[in-house]
Amino acid sequence: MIEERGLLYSIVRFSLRFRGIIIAISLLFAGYGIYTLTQAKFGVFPEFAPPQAVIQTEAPGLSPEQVEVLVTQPIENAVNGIVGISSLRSKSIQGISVVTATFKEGSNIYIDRQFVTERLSTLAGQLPVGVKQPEMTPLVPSTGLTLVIGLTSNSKTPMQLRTFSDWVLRRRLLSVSGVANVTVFGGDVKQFQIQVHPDRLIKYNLSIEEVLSAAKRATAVEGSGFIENNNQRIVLQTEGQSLTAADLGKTVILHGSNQNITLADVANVLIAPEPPIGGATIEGKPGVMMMIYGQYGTNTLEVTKNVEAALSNMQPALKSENINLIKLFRPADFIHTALSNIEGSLILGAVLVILVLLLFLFNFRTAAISCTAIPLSLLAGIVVLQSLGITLNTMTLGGLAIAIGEVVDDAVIDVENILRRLKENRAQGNHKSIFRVTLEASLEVRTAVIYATFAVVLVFIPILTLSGVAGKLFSPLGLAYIFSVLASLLVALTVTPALSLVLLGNQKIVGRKESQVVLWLKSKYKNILNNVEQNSGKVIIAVIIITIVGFAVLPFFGESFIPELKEGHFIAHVSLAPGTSINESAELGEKVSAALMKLPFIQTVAQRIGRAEKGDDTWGTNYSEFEIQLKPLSSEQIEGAQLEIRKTLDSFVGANIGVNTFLTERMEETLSGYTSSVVLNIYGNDLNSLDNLAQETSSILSKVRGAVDVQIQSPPGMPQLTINLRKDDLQRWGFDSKDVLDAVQTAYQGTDVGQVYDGNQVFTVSTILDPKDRNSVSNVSNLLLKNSSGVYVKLSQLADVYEASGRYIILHNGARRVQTITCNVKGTDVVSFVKNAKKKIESSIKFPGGTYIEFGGTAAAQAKSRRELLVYSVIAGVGIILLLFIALKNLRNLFLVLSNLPFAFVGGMIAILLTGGQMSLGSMVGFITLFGITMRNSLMLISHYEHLVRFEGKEWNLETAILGASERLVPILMTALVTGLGLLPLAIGSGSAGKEIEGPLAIVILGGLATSTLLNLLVLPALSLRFGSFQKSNFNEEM
Amino acid sequence: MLNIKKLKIAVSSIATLILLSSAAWYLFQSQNTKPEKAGEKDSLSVSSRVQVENGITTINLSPSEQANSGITTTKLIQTLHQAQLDAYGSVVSIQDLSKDVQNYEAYKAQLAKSKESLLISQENYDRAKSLYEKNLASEQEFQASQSALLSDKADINSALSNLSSQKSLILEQWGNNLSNWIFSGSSSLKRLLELKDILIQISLPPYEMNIKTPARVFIQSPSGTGNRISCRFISAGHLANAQFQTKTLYYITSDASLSGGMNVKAFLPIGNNLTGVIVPASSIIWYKGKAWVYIEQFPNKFVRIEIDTDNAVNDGFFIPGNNGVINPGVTVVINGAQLLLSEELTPAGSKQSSAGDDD
Repeated sequence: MIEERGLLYSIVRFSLRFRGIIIAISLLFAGYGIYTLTQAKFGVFPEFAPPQAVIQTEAPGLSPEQVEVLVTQPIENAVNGIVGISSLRSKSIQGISVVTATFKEGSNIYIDRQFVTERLSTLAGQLPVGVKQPEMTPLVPSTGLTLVIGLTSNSKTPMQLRTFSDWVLRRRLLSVSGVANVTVFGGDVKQFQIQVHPDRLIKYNLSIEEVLSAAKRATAVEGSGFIENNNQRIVLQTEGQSLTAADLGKTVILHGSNQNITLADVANVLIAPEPPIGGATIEGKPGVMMMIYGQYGTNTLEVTKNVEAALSNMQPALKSENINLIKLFRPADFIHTALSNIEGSLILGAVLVILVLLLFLFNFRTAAISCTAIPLSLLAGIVVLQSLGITLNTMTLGGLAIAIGEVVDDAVIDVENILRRLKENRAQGNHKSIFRVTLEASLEVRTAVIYATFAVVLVFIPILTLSGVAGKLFSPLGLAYIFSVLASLLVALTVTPALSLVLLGNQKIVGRKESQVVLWLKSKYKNILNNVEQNSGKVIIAVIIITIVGFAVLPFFGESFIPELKEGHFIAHVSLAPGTSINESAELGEKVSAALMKLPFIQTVAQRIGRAEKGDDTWGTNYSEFEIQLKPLSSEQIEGAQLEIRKTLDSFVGANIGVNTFLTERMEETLSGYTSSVVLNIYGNDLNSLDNLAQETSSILSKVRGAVDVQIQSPPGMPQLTINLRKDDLQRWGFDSKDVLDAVQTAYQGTDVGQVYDGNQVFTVSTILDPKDRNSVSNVSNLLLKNSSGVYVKLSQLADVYEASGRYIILHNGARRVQTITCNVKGTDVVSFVKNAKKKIESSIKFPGGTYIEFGGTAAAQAKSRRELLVYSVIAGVGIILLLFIALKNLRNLFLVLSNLPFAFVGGMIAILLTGGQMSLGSMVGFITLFGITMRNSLMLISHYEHLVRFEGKEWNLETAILGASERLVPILMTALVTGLGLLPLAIGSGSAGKEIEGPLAIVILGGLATSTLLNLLVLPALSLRFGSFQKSNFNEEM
Repeated sequence: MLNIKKLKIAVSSIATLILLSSAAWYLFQSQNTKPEKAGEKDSLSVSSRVQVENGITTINLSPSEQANSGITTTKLIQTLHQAQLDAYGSVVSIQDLSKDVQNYEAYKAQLAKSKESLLISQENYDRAKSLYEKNLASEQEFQASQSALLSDKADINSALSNLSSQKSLILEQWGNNLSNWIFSGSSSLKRLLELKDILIQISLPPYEMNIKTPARVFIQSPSGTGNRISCRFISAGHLANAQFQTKTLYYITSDASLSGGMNVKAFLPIGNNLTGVIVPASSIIWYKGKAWVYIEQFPNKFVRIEIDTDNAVNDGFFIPGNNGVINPGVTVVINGAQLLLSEELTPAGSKQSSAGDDD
């Protein structure tokens, strides 16, 4: 009956002979698996961002146009040639250049960063004087934000609060293991300021340069060397540096015969806030917000735990300083919820599977053997994943959940066949040993199972080869599935036969009857099969019609890349017109916070304005982000909450808003660089032309159905005061350009002249114009400058000073100038929205030569993923067909196996239709998985027919067809049920936290499994009878 | 095997399904690509609160929306305003003035002395000449008297020249009126020299040297209190100020807080008093290189109006009364103007999730 050679035979025989050892090894392995599980790294999603290097260059005082040409372009030119760069984006804003180089997936981030460092070193001397050395920001993962905290105090000033944050809390947090960066928003950054009064300069006949020079002398720190005698070396320490504002004020600028003119005579020397680049409000009150980022490769949960331990240690200090600490956003909460949801689904699925096994097998021992495969296979999958450095996240756990059905099926097929053969053997008078029967029964079904398993592995190839965010998200799911299934194959070859021999060898068990449920099912099934056969034509036509209908509804489905994640937290982006001051943004923020806090489901609200020092974002002061933490809510309530929040924000005049969740934003940002699902890039050289086109395009885009949150990313209209130096007048008055530019910079930007040390805290000393003179537009042209002859000249005598309209930011993509418009989509799907928008824009706007548009964001990513899935599916499909042909060695039977796929597809489509009609990437992956499972089920039936005819000598007729089908009824039903029930918990809470991506996947599999099982059980026997080709064994055919 | 009838049913079913599917697909596609509604292009890319009619953009905000966003308004009130220039000056050290006065007086005395001397010399000469002609005196005595006369004449010329130079210098430095005080030795000069009055030199701002000289200016009190000291015009100097290279004017005041050598800031009223309104700085927004305010043209309807920034005042800009829209009684937004600008510039799709059309 079986071939007594080969690898499979040896493995099974070895496992049966050394069953005790096999069982011991499996117990040992299970223990190791549990240990690995306790040590495993958990995350919500796999790291989905490709390797990136973000280069920030401070260019104090330079306008966006100057930053673009003088700083960004040289950096782009230097970095652009590095091997492996897949995209290069840049932002040039007032005073800072940010270049983001994204590398091809799979490249080594550390080597990439090394390349960037080397290239940056070649820039020495190429950047303008005063521009600081380009620096790479700390390496953080795409979901690296670990914790957002807010600090408020009723007794501390904003400056005291900020100083505490910067010098106590931030430093403590940076020392926590796994923390990469802590950015601080809000409060007042402490600075010693020499606020110069122009009138007083005139009074004492002084210039700003003379003040600067004196201030630099006052703060200088010099080393003094040492004295060495025969015995000792004695270090000299000088302590003449001014350490207080009063001391600084005493610095002599000019020494006269009778009196000295000091800094205090010409300026207010005091401690004052540094001119801010950002701000924050916590629950509607001024405060400090700190964003703590984890290092690349660290585990969010672990870092959160460490950070919280550090914060807990800091509590006494916070309390003594009368500072309240509020947790504003804790991504770990979502990770916990998502993981516990999916773990719950996994456990519930496993319990349901065990119940099904008991119900069908009607035997505790057989059920136990089958169930053993679940932990062993899944733990094996986990061990391999961990050894590959893949975290346990919602995707890998989802992969394991999907695999449960097949894992059990592997064992069930084995156990069920062994049991059947043992019964037959008993009925025949036990003429074979139990060992022999078990060996033969195991090997009898194993060949088909192996082919089926490898076919399923091939099915997952398209998922493993997906690129971009989709690939990063789904390939761990595929890997988890493949590893578990392969492990289950190994378990089925070794542990299952060994356990079967030990537990089923008992005559009593073998003698037991089948479960009543099974007997009843089988009798009904045989009747149904007879009826189907009698009406096989009609049934086949009905199946074809249903299949066509299923395919016909496909175009009506909406498509979405990533479903909305139920994180219980929202980030609201509020932008006002370019040039809005921090005060105005904060004032609006306080009102927005107050309004949001009135909503009953909101726990905390905090606002950050603009950007932070050494932060990743480059927003202007017109831009705010609100961290909105919800109270614990259900998925449906979260959806409603988002609408309420949006409605509340809409009620504020001038607020251009966008509301999203943290993880969705990170994914969208990874895809396009922006936190929106639709990104429209307009490329060209002329900035004015790009601005005009962006205005027109955004106008059209905002009218397309479903458009919300339409934003021009670099809107023009930033109020600007242009100072245009006149060369002739500079010459006439004896100035050179730099004199004037330096004076303007000192007056309005402030010039750092040194540092003051206070314990271990260091504060800058800056010379700047006094606020009254600094904050008036009309006063700029009256700025007095003194030439070398001692003549005072107003700025207006040297330059044209006029109001103009500028840009806050100039964007580049691939070293080309770009204007970007982003929007989100509500009420329709992203793909059809983009299609509509494209048509409207193309018909309404004529783009001048040299300018063109390009859509990006999730729509483009989805199209790419779909294309890739299609191409790789074709390749995998060919591979599967070849594999199946090898297994079946018959083209007709091969088509019979494949005939199940369209029907499975229809089932999936119906399931999508019933659950909202959105085709997400998860659904597509679901279809691929479904095809694998379905194909396996069909293959098992067809191969059983082959076995009956080929090895058991049955004639291929209706009787054999019904016999084979009824023998396979229980395994097929069980496989379908265990797979279905395993996924049911995932599918039922498909919208809840952690199940947003796998939910649609599970729904598709459930739907497809239902129809394909029906077809498998009811139609496939009829089809096989009509079109199948099964012949008795012919020894010559193998020659 | 299927019989022919069943086959026909199957084929016709499939054909019907294909047709139905195609029709549905066509309907779906055509719905998504429906052309723009007539007149739709007329409305610009603005939020639902913003209307554009006849090229004028109006923002409609209900009182509750205004209150929600903290938008507040005020009515502009009529005010009198005189334009003012900021300038720098210095308190003239009495040493400089008295030196010139002393020099002038010295030269004047020298001239008088020379004149007296000449009178005597002339008489001596006349007497010597008469005696010489009568041979009562030697030729040597005559020549000596002649020489003395010529010498005294030369002294007079020299004294006259010195005096003239000094007068020119004084005139150049101190201007006509103040020079006249010096030349005439007026009591006003005496008050200055006795420090009862203080002389202040004001340097006119560049590009403003042709203004009508203000009869009275104000200088910032050196006490730092922000008080202003009133000063009366005396004279216009003919010499540019070395420090500022501009024309100088002299004013006097009797305020004793000023000391010679002090540099001071001055405020020069120019032009006539005008009637108009002062637009507060908090209501002004800068956009596209111009200054704007939002006015409430009709109840709860706001319109952006450009304003003239020629007359900057302490906390805003003065708009003369005859300047079109910005008149006394007009309601301007004093808090939240930037929010209104943001609203005006916000594309429609960024607000109201259902704002998109249905085509």
